[in-house]
Amino acid sequence: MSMTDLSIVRKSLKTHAVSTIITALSVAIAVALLIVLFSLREHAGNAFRRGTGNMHVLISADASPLSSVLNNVFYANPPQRKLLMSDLERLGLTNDTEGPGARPRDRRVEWAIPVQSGDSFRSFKTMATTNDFFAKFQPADAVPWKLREGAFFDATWQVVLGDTVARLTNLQVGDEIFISHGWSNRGHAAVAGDTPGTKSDDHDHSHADHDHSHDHEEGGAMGDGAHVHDDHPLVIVGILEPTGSPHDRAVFFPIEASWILHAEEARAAAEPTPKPARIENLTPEEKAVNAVYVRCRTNAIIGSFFSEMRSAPGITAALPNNQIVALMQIVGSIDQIILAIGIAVLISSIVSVMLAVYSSMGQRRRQIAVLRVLGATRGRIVGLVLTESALIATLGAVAGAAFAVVAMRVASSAMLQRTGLYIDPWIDPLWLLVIGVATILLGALAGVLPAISAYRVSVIRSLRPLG
Amino acid sequence: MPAHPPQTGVDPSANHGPGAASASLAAPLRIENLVFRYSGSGFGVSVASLQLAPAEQVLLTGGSGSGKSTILHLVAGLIDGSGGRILVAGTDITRLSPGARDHFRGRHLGMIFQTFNLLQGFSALENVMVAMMFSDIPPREHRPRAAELLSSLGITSPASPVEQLSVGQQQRVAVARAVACSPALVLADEPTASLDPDNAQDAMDVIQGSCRRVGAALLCVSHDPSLASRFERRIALADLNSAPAPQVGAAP
Repeated sequence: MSMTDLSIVRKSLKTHAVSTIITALSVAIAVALLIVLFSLREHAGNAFRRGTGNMHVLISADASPLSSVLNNVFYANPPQRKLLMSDLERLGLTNDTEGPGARPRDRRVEWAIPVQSGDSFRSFKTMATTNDFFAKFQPADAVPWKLREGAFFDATWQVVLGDTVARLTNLQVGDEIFISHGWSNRGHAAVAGDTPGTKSDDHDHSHADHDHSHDHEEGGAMGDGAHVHDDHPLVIVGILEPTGSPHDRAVFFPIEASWILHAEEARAAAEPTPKPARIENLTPEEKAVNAVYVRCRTNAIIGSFFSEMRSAPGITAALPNNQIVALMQIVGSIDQIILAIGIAVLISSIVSVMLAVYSSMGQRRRQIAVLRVLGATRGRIVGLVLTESALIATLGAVAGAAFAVVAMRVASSAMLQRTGLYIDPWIDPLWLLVIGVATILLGALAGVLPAISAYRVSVIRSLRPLG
Repeated sequence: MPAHPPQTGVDPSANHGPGAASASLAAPLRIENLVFRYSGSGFGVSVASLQLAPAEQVLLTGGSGSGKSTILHLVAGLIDGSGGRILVAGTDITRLSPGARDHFRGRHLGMIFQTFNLLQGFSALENVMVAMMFSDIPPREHRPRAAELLSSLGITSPASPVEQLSVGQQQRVAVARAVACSPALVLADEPTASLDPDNAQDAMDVIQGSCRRVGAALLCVSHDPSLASRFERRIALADLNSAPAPQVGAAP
């Protein structure tokens, strides 16, 4: 094989291997950062759209539509305000105050699903709701719930785990758990012997976070407001397939169970010998929900329904998709700052390419002069330097793309574990192409100054005997 | 080698009359009324006429700073004269654009330096092949030709980086590189200045032998008097250059 301009450039890079690797690495980090930022930016919107699914309107008593969506769909904070089932009846969102999940009286509404999300199991948020949550609501549009194992709940003291909860707790169908009132890392799985009449599979459950006999006594002194509802274990009847939504990190149980747990707690606080709470003896005040997921029968009537709900006193109506768009606009300015930082990092890494190539020029004047004597034109020398600079950037871009693929997977997994937001780790090849080509062009641009220096090399002066 | 009396520097074969151009088309080198002056200095080079016949080997002698290397640089097209013509293999290189002159140099000229000026980090073979990059030799022939050339010059490890070769071997690689493209003319600039007398004679054997083998003319500049006996034609720069003598401290 003959020597080519590229083989001369390769030789040069090899000669300055350490500098080449360090410079290419700095480009790689910048490229990876930029690709990840662009991809996260694109996927974050999609991630937020997951979760609201096929719901049209969210009805709650929260302070604002945005907090309503964040609290009742994304489990951001425990909702502070409640709606009573009688309120829903008044709004026409149910026609039976005794039966949550009954068909709505308002003919514009296809379904209305009450949800209550102020409790927790260990660090996972709970969602007390009705069977309709699984039968009618879809976490992402046209993506129905699927069970990995078991069934959806159909009795009061049953619970269904989101995919992440099941994976991280290693709990299985048939195990029993206790729900904590409020958000905390309390709550626990039942262990044989802990609670008479409860059973557990024979696999090992960690219950280091549980001191069963003291939770009740110290309920008011937990510091985080959490209180373990120890009297009512819930048996796991189903584990959901992942949905890529925040619901993967949630624990779902019947809203009746939640009403009973809270009623018992309230009655215990109010009177020394409280009457045991039963679904039959719950007062209207004890039948509270935080929000209602609503889907209208047609898109055309969403507007009028939403306006009507919004004007109802004490009601906050939110169009989840609009709130997500508004949220992304709020996040957008921060997003642009982060992008600007990413671009600044890329430019600084390109400057490092220029410095690396430029600083090597001093040592290479003789080589350039020899090539000129052998017949290389000034233009060809300029081409060699630009190629070298672009090649360093190319190495960095390729390594950066590889880093980005790994980083996106890590970031996606971490986001899912920590926030329940599913960020698609897939990187759009168009972004790779655009950032890759831009990096290579910037790399070539970084070679301009060293190339000018090479262009000006005095052949005769550079070939003088040393010393 | 028989000793020859130094010549006057005036090329007896020079023909400045009508038809001279066609008569000397094949001459590897012909200089006519070449004038060069360093800026800011009264010193320069002025050569009325010089011509080398095909495969002729000429020694250009002169003291340090007398302008020998300047003439080589002018002939190589690395610097521009202010007047006159330099014809290499029939082409007036003073009329070529800088880029065309570079191309021309790669195809028709070979250069040998006192310090070899090999490409560090490149093997002996690669050093020779790099020279062929700028020639008309088909790429597929580069490697076999370079290998054969190095082998003929006794380089047994052509794949070794040149910095690992002995000084003598490096000199041979430099010679191989200069003749690799079968140039019409090889310019040697003080090729033995950094060698001891024995190695200097060996080096000149290699240089002169290689030029003969490829049919290249050789213009060798040196201030080493021991080389005189190796050349049939010797030219004292003082006789050739009619420009004023250099001033003390002036840059050549």
